[in-house]
Amino acid sequence: MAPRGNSFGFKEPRKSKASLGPFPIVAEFGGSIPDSLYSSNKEASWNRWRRGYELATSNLSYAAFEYPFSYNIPLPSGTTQSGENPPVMAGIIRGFPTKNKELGMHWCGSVLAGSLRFDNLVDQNDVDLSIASVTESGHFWRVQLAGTWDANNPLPPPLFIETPGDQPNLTPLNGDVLEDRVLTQGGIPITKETIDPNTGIRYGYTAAVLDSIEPYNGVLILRKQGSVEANFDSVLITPAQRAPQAGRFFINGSKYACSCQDFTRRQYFYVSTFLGRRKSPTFPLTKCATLKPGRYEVTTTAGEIDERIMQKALQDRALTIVAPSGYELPYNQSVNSKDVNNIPSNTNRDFPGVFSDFGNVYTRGTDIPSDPNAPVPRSEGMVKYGDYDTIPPAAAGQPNQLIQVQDTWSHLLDEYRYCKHIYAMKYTDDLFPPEPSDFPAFTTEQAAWEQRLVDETERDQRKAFDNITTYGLSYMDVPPLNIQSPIMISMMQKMLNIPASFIKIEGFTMYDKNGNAYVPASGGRPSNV
Amino acid sequence: MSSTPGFGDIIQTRVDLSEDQLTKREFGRSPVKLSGNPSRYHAGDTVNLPFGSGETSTISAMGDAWAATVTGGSPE
Repeated sequence: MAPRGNSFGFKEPRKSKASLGPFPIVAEFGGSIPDSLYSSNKEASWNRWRRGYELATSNLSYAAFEYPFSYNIPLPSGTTQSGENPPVMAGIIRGFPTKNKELGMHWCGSVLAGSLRFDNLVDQNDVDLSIASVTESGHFWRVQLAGTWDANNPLPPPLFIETPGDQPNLTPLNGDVLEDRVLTQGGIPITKETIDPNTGIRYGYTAAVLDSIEPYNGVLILRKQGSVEANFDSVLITPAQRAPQAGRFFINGSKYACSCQDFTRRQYFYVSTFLGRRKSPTFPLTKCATLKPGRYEVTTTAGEIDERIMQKALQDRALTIVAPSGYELPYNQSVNSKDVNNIPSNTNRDFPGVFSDFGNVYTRGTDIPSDPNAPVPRSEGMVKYGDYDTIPPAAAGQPNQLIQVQDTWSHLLDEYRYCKHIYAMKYTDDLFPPEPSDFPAFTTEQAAWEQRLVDETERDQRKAFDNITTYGLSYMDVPPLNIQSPIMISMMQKMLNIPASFIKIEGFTMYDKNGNAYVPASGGRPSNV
Repeated sequence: MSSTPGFGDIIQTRVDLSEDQLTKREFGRSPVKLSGNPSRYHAGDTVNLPFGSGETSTISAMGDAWAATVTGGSPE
């Protein structure tokens, strides 16, 4: 009989209770083979896309936890509102019952298309920002906006905000989806069904991600990859085959965000004991080896750190992201000021990839030799890793030398890498999301994997609902009164895309199941009859 | 949805629940009774938020918020 102990023959020390956890929940998806396939599978958007579909179909048969809202953006002090209509943003937050989650719910939100309109932006001469012209440029469309632009008169906020000194300029709308759906100033956005009365043909429109801007030239650069076109037959196709149309105005497309760890790239752990069901310690332990130095976030009230789970219902908090010198936020790499971490423009914004790798979308060749810049309409097989580069070995027999490691992350129409909850929302919206082409490498038969996924999803959803009936959600645990919690505040900042200090509970008007409005900050409650 | 939508109205929705879906919703293993045709906005809808010239629009308020915050401004 082999002696007990490790491979050196030393007796293994008894594990202490503390080493048993609880550890932060970092669950992601993937295979079980600990090699490069694991990373490929874990990062695969396809994985989230497929799970989202299953979650959507499973979740449909149950009662949806939907919280529609309109958010009135507060104005900076010293400014007054002009006009009768309030500057509101319409959206919805939906709860996804989750077995493996504090309070049993992930909150996934969306801001509706049409909330932001470019016919409300003007240049220095009060010229509306319609689309003046569009030129093709490889993988991108260069959209020239109407107006007069120069170094002293760049694109207006929120497209571009020039900051003083060496601080990075802001481009909050970069990464958002834009759709050319407003034909005239103040007009009603067209739908994919709207017919041009002059021709009897549907207008159609194009949706694409705003990749970057040239603020001093009045140019928007839209990405063809992942774009969607509503064509003349009222069919959504991807990638779009035609550019945005000159003379129209852009509106925002639907924007999504989720509170789950897969989307926020944050770890969490259970605080509650599930009414005594859970007996283990309730303080998280993180191994030193997994600590990432540098950036962290805190929520504050009036400048004081305030990360309490329970607080007064109507108290607003601010999100502050701290990045010591050397770990600056990846907004503008040329900035290297230690003060960059403390300027409000950075500390109120949740940046992709701040807390952990934000996920990769591996770039692909077009596989069309005659047109190397053409958008890729189909998957062309296994991923081609483009995130590292090597040179031949220094001496014979040695391995290649790794000279470069980088993320090749780039946003598609899906701005960020979506989680399965966001994909589920898109499925239930009848906006069948394009199938990501980073198909995972299955270690089992795909049909068997999918059948197991169907069974597991149904079982988990049933269990999650059972859990909720056991310990329930209080009024404080649902939107909008939960949005100031440390987990939710970064998700809300991403979704509304305004500084966290401008997200206030008093700005929310909610709509109950009968469509009646109520304002929680004023004591309003939904109808219960 | 009317033919001439007003401010804040939905002009396109993809949510059209059937009678069957409305009456057979479940909560775990328990059927749950819900009345009403749920909610005003759904994810995936398109909303009509036109603003007149000179009005404080949503997109301009968003721009004001970002512009204020780079200089340390805060909401009222």
